Parts: sequence; C-alpha cells; structure tokens
Amino acid sequence: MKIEFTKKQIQLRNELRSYFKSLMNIKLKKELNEGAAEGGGPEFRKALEQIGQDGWIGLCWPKEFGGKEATPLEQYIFTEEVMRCGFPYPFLTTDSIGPTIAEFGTNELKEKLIPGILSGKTIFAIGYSESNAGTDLAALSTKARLQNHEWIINGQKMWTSLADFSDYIWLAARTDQETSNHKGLSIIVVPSDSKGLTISPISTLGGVRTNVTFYDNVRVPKENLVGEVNKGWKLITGQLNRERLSLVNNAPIEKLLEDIISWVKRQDSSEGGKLIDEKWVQTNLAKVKSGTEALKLLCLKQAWLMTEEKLKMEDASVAKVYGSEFFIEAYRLLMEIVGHKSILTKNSIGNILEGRLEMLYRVSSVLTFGGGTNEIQRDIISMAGLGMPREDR
Amino acid sequence: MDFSYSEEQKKIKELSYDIFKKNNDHTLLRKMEESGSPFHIKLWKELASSGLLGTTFNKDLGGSGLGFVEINIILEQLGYHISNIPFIQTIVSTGMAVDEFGSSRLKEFLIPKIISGDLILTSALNQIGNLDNDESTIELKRINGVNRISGKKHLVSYAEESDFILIPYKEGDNYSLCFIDTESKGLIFTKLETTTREPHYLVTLEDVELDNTLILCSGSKTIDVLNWINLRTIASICSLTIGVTQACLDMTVGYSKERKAFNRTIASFQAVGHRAANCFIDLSCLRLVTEQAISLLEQGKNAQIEVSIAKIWSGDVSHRASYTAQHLHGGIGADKDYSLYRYCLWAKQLELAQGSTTYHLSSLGSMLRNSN
Repeated sequence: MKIEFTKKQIQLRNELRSYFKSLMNIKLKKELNEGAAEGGGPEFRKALEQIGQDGWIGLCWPKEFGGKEATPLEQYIFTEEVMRCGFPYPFLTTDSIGPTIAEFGTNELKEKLIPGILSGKTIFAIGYSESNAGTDLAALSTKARLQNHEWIINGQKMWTSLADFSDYIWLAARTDQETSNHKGLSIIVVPSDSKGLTISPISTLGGVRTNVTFYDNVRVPKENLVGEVNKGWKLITGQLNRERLSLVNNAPIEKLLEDIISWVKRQDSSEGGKLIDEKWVQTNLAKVKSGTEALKLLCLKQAWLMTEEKLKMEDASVAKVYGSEFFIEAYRLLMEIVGHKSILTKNSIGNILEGRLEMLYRVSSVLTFGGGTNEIQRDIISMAGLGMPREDR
Repeated sequence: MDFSYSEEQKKIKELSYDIFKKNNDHTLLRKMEESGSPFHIKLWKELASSGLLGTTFNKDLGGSGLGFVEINIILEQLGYHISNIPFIQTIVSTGMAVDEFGSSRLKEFLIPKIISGDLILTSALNQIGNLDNDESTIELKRINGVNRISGKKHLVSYAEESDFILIPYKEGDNYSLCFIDTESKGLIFTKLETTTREPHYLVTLEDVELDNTLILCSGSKTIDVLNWINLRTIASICSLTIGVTQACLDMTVGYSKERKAFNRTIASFQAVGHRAANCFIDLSCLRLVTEQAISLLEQGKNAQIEVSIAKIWSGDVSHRASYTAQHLHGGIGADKDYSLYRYCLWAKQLELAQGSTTYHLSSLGSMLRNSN
C-alpha cells in the first residue's frame, strides 16, 4: 500500500505539463475557442500530428508498432495532462479503436490504419447509436450485407460525433438479419468519404457539433471487417469500458478548482475582505475538493488495476456514475461562488475564467447518459459488484 | 503506486478477521450492552495473545514493528464485527503517541503492558480544536510545591476501565499532555449513557496530583503532538467506519436476496439494486480517500488535507449506508434479535466522532483559503 507516484512518473508529469503548455499556442487556442472546440480545424490537425511525431500517441503501445510500452499509469498521467491543457485529444481513436484494431484486425487493416493513428493523421468517429438504439445498443438496425467481396451498408446513425472531420467511421452494423440482438452484429471500418454516406450536423446544448450519418448503399471492401463476422459485440463492450474511463477523468475539474480558488482569492467580497474569506465560499470549495479527490483516486486505482490486469466490470461503472454526477454537482457549487456572473458566456465582456463554467454546465448533462446510461451502470454494479440478481427492468 | 496489501498485511487481515468473527456472537454482545458490561474483555485478551495489540510497536519493546497501514487493516475488521473494545483509545490515540514522543522510561513502563493486554489507556482529547473551551480546559496549579490539575473533561471513553488517561492541561499559555493514574485521588467519573453503550464518562479532576514521570510532552511541542494524535485518530475512525458500513451493505445485500415480495426477491427490483449500488460507490470512494490518508501518515508526511477529506467522506457514508441498510431491511433492521441495529448505532457515533462532515468541510475550506 503506497499511493504515490514514482520520481520517474512525477518527471513524466512535469515534462508533459510543459510540453502541452507550449503546444497550446495562441493560434490553436483561438481556433478551439472560436467554434471548433471538439477539434478538426487545421491548427488542431497540426498539433495532433506534432503529438504523434513526438511519440506521445504511442506511449503505451507495444514496441512492434513503434510504441513505448509504458503502463496504464503513465497513460493516466498523459491523459490527465492533455485534458488539463484543454486540447480535444481523440482518445477514442488512439486508446480504444487503435488497440482494438491491433488486437483483432487483419494484417492488411493494421498496416493500413495503425501508422496513421500513431502519427496523429487518422481520426475515427464512432457509429453506434441510432434513433432507436442507445443504451440498448443491441437493438440497432443498420444493416451490412456481403456481396461480391464488398459490404453494402444501409441505415442511419445518430450522434456520430467527429464524423464531419474524421477519416473513418467505426461502424456497428447488423450482419445477421435473422437476429435482433447482440449476436448478429459486426464492426466495419467505413471511410468517411465513401459514396452514399451523408453527414448532417446536429448542434447541441453544449455548443458541440455532432452528426446524423446516413448510409445509402455504402460499399466498403470485405477486409474492412474487424474481427469475426457477427462477433462484434465483444469489441463494442470492450471499447465502451475504455470510453467510460476517459469520460470522467479528474484533470479538468482539478484545474478548474485551482483556477476558481485563485479567482476568489483576488475578488473583493461585499462583506469586506476577499471572497475567499467567506465561510460559505470556503465550504463550497471544500465540497468540490473532497469530491475531486475521490474521483482522482478512483481513476488512479483503475489505471493501477489495468496495470495489474485486475480491472473488474463494476470498477469502470463506479467511476462513470460517480464522476458524471459529481461534475454536475461541482459545476453548480462553483457557479454559486462565482454568482450571477457565471451566466456570462465566453464571448461576453466581463466573463469569469473565459466563461468556462457557463460552457461546462451545458456540456455536463450529456455524461450521465452518454457512454451507457447511469441506470445501466448501477445495474452492472449491483449485479457484478454485489451479486444481486437481475430480472426485468 | 500500489493499492494492494503485502503478504504480511494479508495475513494480519485474515488473523484479525478470524478473531473478531469468532467473538462476534450477537446474543452475547447484546447481553453485554444490556448489562452495562464495560467491554469485550475476552476479545481483548485474544488480541493480546495473538500478538495483534503489539502490531505497531517497536520490536525492542516486544512489538511487531509494523506500521499504521496494518493498524487500519485490523480496525476495518473490528468495524466489520463491531463490539466495544478500547482499540483506538489504547493503541492509536495513546500507545502510538507514547512510542513516537515518549521518554524511553515512559515507553518501557507502558508499552510492554499494552502489548500483553494488561494495560488499558484512553485519552481526554475529544473536543478537537476546542482547547480553549472552558469545560475542556484543565488548569495546573502548584499547591504547597506539588503540581496539581483541576477541571472537567467530557465524553472520555473507557475512563473508569482504563489504567491511565492522557489529559491535556494548561499552565499559563502552554499546554502539556500527561497521563493520570485512574486510581489518583480527586478523580471523579460520572458515567454517561451513549447510543452504542460504549462506556463514556464525564471526568472531573479536583486537585489531582501530577506524576512528572508520566508527562508525554510539554511546551510548544504539545500542539504538534496533539495534531499528530488527532490525525491518526481520525484516520482510524474512518477505517472503523469502512468496516461498519461494509457490514451494513453486505447484510443488506444478503437479506434482499432472501426476502421475497410480489413473488420475487427484493434484490431483483431495480430500485433496490440501485440503492445498494449507491452504497457500493460510496464505499469505493471512502475506502480510497482513507487509504490515501493512511498511506501518507504511514510515511510521516503532512496529511492534514487528506485526513479531513477522509472524514468528510466517512461522515457522509456512515449516514447514508446506515439509513439505506435500515430502510432496505424494513422492520427486521430495527429488531434487536438481528444485529443490524448495532452497526447503525455505531455508524452514527463514528459519524460525529472527532468532527462531523460539516465541521471538516469548514476546516478544509480554511485550509484551501490559506493554501498557496
């Protein structure tokens, strides 16, 4: 029992903090701030390729792919630092889809896709959800059938985030039309510029663009199937566990709390003294601090469990439920401190900390249902963590 | 980074689990509570003969020379099989402080007898942060060349059952900490009845003579020693709480898998599963923040913030897990033939011991204000 990083790991953190500080130059910040917060612009592309060139994308990848084979603990440090700086790093591509291709893809697919992922040139969007399939993903109905060595895809996907600037879509489709559950699904890699694929924007409360994607007789080579036909479910669930972890990383809230504390130390209070002298302000800060600390330790323990190869199904669910609900509460507590001014947006004069709170509370509500709704996560905890039986929901 | 127990720590966990489980007879414990029996003496003797009372003490004095992590492993098992024994009082709040700060004479006098189970110690340090509270201030006077102390201390657990009580007293602007022999003249114990029936007393001191050889520390060092003891006592309370609330959750899950309503087990209702899942999440968080605090304390690092955070969680989780357990059990949770009630009473007592959640939020808030 020793809950502490090694000296080498602390060095890595320091190195990454200054690396990302210089990476986030004025042009990139301006691009992210003026619309494309989720990435995709030329400065974003340039920076991602730089990260790839400097070897950071491959930090935890096996040596055979040119990676450095660091442990999930180093990956956790990397994730914290990249999220702290605010760069919209495409975790799903680099940490989830990439490793799945490396494990299950054909040699041809690996050679075609992995160099691009590791050099920061290739970005994936995920095509899972549909109008009638979200948390109950196995109900999806987008079809793919094999004809003359090609998959012919028809259907419609919702919330295909990043599709508008991605290179590929990681698509879950029904390949066995006789089934209506998880047994007849497969994963197919679809180039985003495929003929018959239409990408149409959805603008969201959080100010983030996502998409509906339409597939009208889209044809892709047979080799773009990942793993075995009709065995896609295992790939999807494995990938979702990783997604849940990156959704609730503690770094952004930690940074936000630090910034709010510095801010309240500078602000004059109407009661005289500084805002931080007020007991209720201190108490709200303490609530956020104690909640953040628990989240940090949950994430850290998961990284450690992954290093030890002992991560259990319920662990990712605990972090996901706790983190997503804590964010909402934390933003509220911090907005109370900032007061009425926290409704000023990033474009307004007089905003506080670039209107970050105003933006964050709009974005945060997505997390309690995204990546597998919290009700299902609680089901997983009571079944897998506590051994309670499940009947009809 | 290591969240796991070493082989030796696993052995301590198993050994303490076995001893506590064996002595956790509900009917006997209930009889002890109702008869006003002071504490589980048989259990204490078994802890001594197994060597567990010496876990943290120096090998030269007959201990095992292990650390604070091991103490907290034992405390979690005690919490899981909760009964009245003065473990935190004798081992953490006094014994460990003697080992750390006491003169070699004081160590040799007290520690071997703690390890053998022949000496019970307690401390009158309940009102943390309240040193200046009138009620808790003990003043030193020199009467005819003899140092004597007078005053009152409230909520002193196991005072009458102990051989010595560690008491803070004031002389001018300085505080000191000294052990007082419970046989001393001028000591009056007024028994209090508490929610868990753990023995507590109002201790009145009327010109009690000080024995200079029993002084633990004095002068400017005292505040640091008090803080040292306080942080470890709080962390220990958090470990005990982990055990108590884990027991609440396990009993609830077990019961809900047997109890049927509308022809199915209540565990299969999503509403029940989710309340239990919330406790699971709570306990995961409490365990981690407590382990972090203990790990830092074990290495002698400053853990003021981390200990406060652990107690913030501990108070909240005590409260939530206990009421969830009561609620999901329904009537049986309140029936004294079933042991859940004891865990719920302890959850409340531990929630309020050494500062509630709100108290620690306030103190953490001050620390954040003063941070750089």
